[in-house]
This record gives sequence, C-alpha cells and structure tokens, in this order.
Amino acid sequence: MIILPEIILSLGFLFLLCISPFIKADSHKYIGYLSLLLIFLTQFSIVKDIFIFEEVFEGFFIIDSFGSFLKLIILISAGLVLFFYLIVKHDKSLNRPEFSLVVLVSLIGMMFMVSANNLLSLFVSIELQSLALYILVSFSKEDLNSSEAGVKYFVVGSLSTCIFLFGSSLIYGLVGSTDFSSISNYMTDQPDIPMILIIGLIFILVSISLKISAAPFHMWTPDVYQGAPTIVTAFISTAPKVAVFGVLIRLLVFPFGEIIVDWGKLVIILSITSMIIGSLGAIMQSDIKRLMAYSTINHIGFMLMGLVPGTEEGITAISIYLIFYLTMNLGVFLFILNMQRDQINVTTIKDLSGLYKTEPVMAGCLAIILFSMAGIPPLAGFVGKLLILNVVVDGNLFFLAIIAVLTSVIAAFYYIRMVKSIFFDDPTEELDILTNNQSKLLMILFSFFNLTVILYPQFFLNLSASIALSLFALK
Amino acid sequence: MQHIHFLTLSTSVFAIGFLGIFVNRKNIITILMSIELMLLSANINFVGFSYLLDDLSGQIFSLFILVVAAAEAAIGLAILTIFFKKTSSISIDNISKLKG
Repeated sequence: MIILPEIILSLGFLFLLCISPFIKADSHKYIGYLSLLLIFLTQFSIVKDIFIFEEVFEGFFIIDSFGSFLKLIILISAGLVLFFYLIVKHDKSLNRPEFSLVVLVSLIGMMFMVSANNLLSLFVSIELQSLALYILVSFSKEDLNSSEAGVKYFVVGSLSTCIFLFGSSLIYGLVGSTDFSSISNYMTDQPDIPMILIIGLIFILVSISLKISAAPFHMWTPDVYQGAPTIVTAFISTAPKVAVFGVLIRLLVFPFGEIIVDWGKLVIILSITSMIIGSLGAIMQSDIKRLMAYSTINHIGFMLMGLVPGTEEGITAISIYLIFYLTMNLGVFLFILNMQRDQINVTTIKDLSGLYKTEPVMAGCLAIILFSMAGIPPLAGFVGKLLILNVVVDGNLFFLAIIAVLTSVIAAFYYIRMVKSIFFDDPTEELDILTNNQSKLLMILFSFFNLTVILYPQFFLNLSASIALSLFALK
Repeated sequence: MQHIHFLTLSTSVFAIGFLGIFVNRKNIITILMSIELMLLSANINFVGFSYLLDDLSGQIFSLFILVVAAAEAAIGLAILTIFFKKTSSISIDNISKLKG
C-alpha cells in the first residue's frame, strides 16, 4: 500500500470525529492526545517507504522522497503545535474537540498537496487545506479580533483560489491536459513558448505567493497573525508554509523547469520585495505576533532566493532552511503562548522587559532562538542563510546576495531589540511565565538544537541532497 | 477563432469579480458574490476549452470547482455570521481594528 499514510490519517480522522460527541468531560484533551497518536502512526508509515518513487491514481499523485520528506516535517511541526495546544492554558473558547479535528483535516490536505501531480488534484488539496485554516483562524468566538482576522483570511484565500483556477484554465486550454508531465512535454516540444502559457504561470505564481505571504502579496499576513489565537498563528506560520513552499518548488522545478528564464525574473522580484518589506516593516511594531509576521515574510524572501538558480543545491539549501525555520518559529511561538499575566495572554514587546531577572533560563533560550533568527554565527539560522547565499553566489547573482545581506542586517535590529528588552530593561510588571515543565523542556530542546546544529551539518546536507535528487529525477 | 468568444466572456466576468473586491467599499456579502463570479469565470474557460479540445477533463475540473465553491461559500457565510454577532454589522468599514 503506497498511500498508507494518507489512508491512516483520513480513516483515523473519521473515527475520531465519530467518537468525539460521546466523550463527556475534557473531550478536547482526549481527542487531542488521540490525534497526536494518529500523527505518530502516520509518521511511522511514511518513514517505512521514504525512498519509494511511484505514480498513483493515473498520475494524479506522485510519491517520491521529496514529498515524503515534506510530509514528515509537516507532520512533526503539526504534532508539536498540537502538543503545545495540550500543555498550555487557553481561554475557554479554544477548549473544544473540533480544534484538533480541524487541524487533522488541514493536515490531510497538506499531505495530498505536496504529492499532487495534476492541477486538479493540486487545486482540491489546496482547498481542503485552506478551508480548514479559515475555520481555525476564526475559532475563538468570544474574540472580535479572531473573527475579523477570519474574514480577512477568507477573502484573501478565496481570491488566491480564483486566480489559481483562472491560470490553470488558461494552461489547460493551451496544453489540452492538466497533468504535470503533459505540461512539461508540451514545453519541451514547443520551440517558442506562447505568451498565454506564461500568463497562466504568472497567475499561478501570484496565487501561491498570496498563500506563502511573499511580498507584494503579503498585506493580510500581519493582520491575520495578530488577530488569530496564538496557537493558530503558531500553526499557520509553520506547517502550511512548508506545504505551499513544497508545491511551489515542485511546480517550478518540474513542469515549468523549461521556462526558468521567464519565472526566474518574477521570483527575483518576489524575493527582493519580501526581504525588504519583511525587514523594514517590522521595525516599528510593538506586538510580537505582528513582528513575527514580518519576520516570516523576510524568511520566505530568503528561501525564494534559493529557487532562482534552479539547481539541485538550491533545493537542498531551501529544505535545510525550512527545517531550521520551523524550529526557530515553533520556539518563539511556544514562548509567546506562555506569556500570561493574570491568566490573560499578553503579546507586546514591552511585556518582555526584565524577563532575565525573573526567568533566567527561559530568557536565555529565547535569546538563543532570536539570535538564530537574526542569523548570528554559529547558530542554525546562520547555517541556513550561509547555504542559500552560497547557492546564489554560485549562480552569479551578486546583486541578489548583496540585497539579502543588507536586509538581514536590518532584520537583525528588531530581533536584537527584543533581546535588549529582555536583558537590559527594567521589569514593568511580572509575567507568570512558563509555569509548566513540559514547555520549559521543549524551549531548552529548541535552543539546544539551534546551538548545536553547526556540529553536524553534514547530516542535514546529505539528507536534503538525496531529497533534491529525487525531485530532479523526473526531468 | 471560436475561442475568442468565450475567452472574452470569461475574462470580463473575471475582471468584474476582481474589481468587485477592490472597488466595492460597502459590505462583505458583495465580496462573497464577487468571489463566486471569479470562480464561475474559470468554469466558463474550462467548459469552453473542453468543448474545443474535445476532451472531458475540463468538464470534470469544472464540476470539482462547483463543489468547492459551494463549500467555500458555506464557510465564508459561517465566518461572516460570527463576525456579525460581534459587531452587528457586515460593513467593510468595521473590519479595521487590526492595523499598524
């Protein structure tokens, strides 16, 4: 059974959905732990055949190591977010069994997304994922910000769907099929590519940029990140970003790999604007969640840069950067989740002041993760940035590398401002922070990972290189 | 030159929907309607090309779009209901609490 992971996850989800009404007390806890168990099972079934390469359902889906690797990191990050959900206190409106169930639905969508090999299956799985995310963002019914963020996310997400559909209809009209390999064959046979195909590609690229929040299509990101419940923000900034980025890599490398001259320029524009807006926009922010939104835009710009040369090394660097990005982001969001004063979540930078005096260990861990995000050697963020810059310089794109370094310096300012606030400002009011030991342990693990990655980079390099190889095998 | 006819139709429907989102400054229901229009313009394209190419997959694609459009409208209206409960209005001017 080659699609065993998806089958396990879907059937398990249906089973949990059926039993959830019959659990009387604390049903969100039981369903949450059962969902975690389900995610573990799915992971085992993926690891079992990670090196298999096969097309299933008449070429609608493709199972290869690139997809399996992305599925693994998606499942791990979603599992961690579910674990955060279970160990941290929330307001009551989030304590419902539906929360974990909706997370599972979007996980099914993401797993199909990264293995889609046809515009139709890609469209349906993207929708499955995003419909679940709209619900998650507006999950907190008591909170006006949450429903406002939900409306905004819904409108932008649907707009992105429409643009994707219009683009794929143009490509279908030209190629006569929605299959990725037919699209690729069409382009190899054609001596000069018709303009309408490029227009279709631009539509699809715009739609995907809206989903990964690459500037200039980033307008919704800060609002949605701030308005959504923090646990949901932690989720939408990790797993879906990886999944959509996987789709982008697959689309650009395989079916549209022939016209790299055309999409290369567009990706350069996306990447430069994302890096600039991501670094400048965050400077004036006072809310950490909003700041993290701009930080995400900046990181996405950095990763997009690795796509431009269109080489295997680029994909290798991006995969490694994605892993490091996940650990850093999850660490920061675990911290934000624990920032509470009198049982109410607080999220401004001012609340961090003087944290060093009350919680020295946690302050140290957060500082390490923030330094890693800023890309200070020898932390994980630095290794990721170095690999991507290496690829860009190899591709003779010096101006891009220079802009990337300059914007990283600007971005370092706002990360270090948070560190300054933690260590050198006088405490205003005390936070009752990190009251449970699991969160403390996880924070220490995240910062330890970021600290020690420099000792074994070869492991990640070998892993990602074999993944990138499987992607290029199709060509 | 058969394809020019339905391409003109679908592109203008798409443009109307697109403008509907950005020009309209009244209420959110109009935005939902505009989104429906844009989805349908893609449908027109798919069905038209499917007829021209004598290939069924375009029509199947458009059936899938119809199903997803229905699900999307349901979820959009549900989110709008929650929003309405809080603010007692669906005017776009009220969606401006989050900014900065």
